[in-house]
Amino acid sequence: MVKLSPLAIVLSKMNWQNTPLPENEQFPLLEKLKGQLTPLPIPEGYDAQFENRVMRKIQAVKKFNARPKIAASIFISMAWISSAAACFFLTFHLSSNPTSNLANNPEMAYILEELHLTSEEELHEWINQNNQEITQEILLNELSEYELYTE
Amino acid sequence: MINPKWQDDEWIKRFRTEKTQEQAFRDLIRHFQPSLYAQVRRICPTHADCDDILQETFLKAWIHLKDFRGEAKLSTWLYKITHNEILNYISKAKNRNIAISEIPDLSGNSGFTSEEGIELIQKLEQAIELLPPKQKLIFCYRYFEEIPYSQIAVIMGVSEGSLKASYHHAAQKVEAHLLNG
Repeated sequence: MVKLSPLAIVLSKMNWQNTPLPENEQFPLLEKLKGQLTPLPIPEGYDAQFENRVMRKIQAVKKFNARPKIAASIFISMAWISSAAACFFLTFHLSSNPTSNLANNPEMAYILEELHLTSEEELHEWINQNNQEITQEILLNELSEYELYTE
Repeated sequence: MINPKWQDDEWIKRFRTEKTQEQAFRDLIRHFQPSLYAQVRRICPTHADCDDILQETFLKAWIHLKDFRGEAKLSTWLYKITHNEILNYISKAKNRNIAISEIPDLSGNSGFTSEEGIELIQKLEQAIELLPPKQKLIFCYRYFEEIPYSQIAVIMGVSEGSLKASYHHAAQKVEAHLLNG
C-alpha cells in the first residue's frame, strides 16, 4: 500500500474543486506585475509568412496522400525498411541526374523547403559542396520528418 | 486571448467542405496563432524554437482534424497538441543538453520604466526559471495566458484539484522569490 505523506493526506481531504483558492489575493506582487506585463511581441510580418509556410507543407502532404496507394506504400516501405538506402539513392540520383525533375515530387519539395533551397540544381550544388556523410544524414532526417507528417 | 466570436461548429462545417477547407484552415491559423505563440514563447527562449513547435502543431492539427469529434473545444484541442509539442521540445532539449532554463526577456514588455520595476520583472523571470518544468507550464498557462483550470486539466490530462494545488505552490515560490530573492 502506498504511504501518503501528511501533506498529501491533508490535500486529498480538501475539496479543491469547490474551494476557490485565493490565488492572486495572496500574492500582491504577482498581481501588481501582472497588470504591467504586455504580451511578447510577434516579429513583424511573421504571421503571413508562417501561414503560407504551413499551407505549403500541407499542400505537400495532400499531394503525397493523393498519390496512388501502391506507389505510396512502396515508397513508405522502402523508406522504413532502409531509410539510409533511400537517402543514398536520392543523393546518387541527384549526383548522376542533375537535370531530372524531382522538384515536382512532394517529398522533394518538402526537402528543398526545409533546406531553404529553391531548385533541384541548388540542391545538387549543396550536395557537391558538403561532406557526403553529412548531406546523407540531413536528407535522412528530412525524409523521416516528411514520413512523420504523412503517416 | 481567443476571440469570443469564434464558433467551433461553424468552422468545422467549413473545414469539412472541400471547397472551403483550405480557407478555413488559414482562418484557424490566423485566429489561434497569436495565443499559441504566446503559450510557447513563455517556455522557449528563442523565436526559432517557437516557430518549429508551432509549425509541428498546425501540421499535426491538419493531419488529425478528421478525427476531431468536438468533445472538447477546438482551442483546448489545439492547446493540447501544442502542449505535447512543448513537452517533446523539453525532452529533446534535455537529451541534447540544450539549456531551456532561460526564459524570454520580459523586461521590455512591461509598463515599468523605473529601475525598481524592471528589477522586479527580472526577478519574476528568475523565479519562473527556478520552477520544475511542469509547474512552470501550469504557472505560465494560468498566470500569463489566464487559461481556465478546467481547460488546463484537459490540456495536461490532470485533475483540476492537483492543478490548483500546483499553481498555488508555484505562485507561492515565485512570490517568495520576488520578496526575498
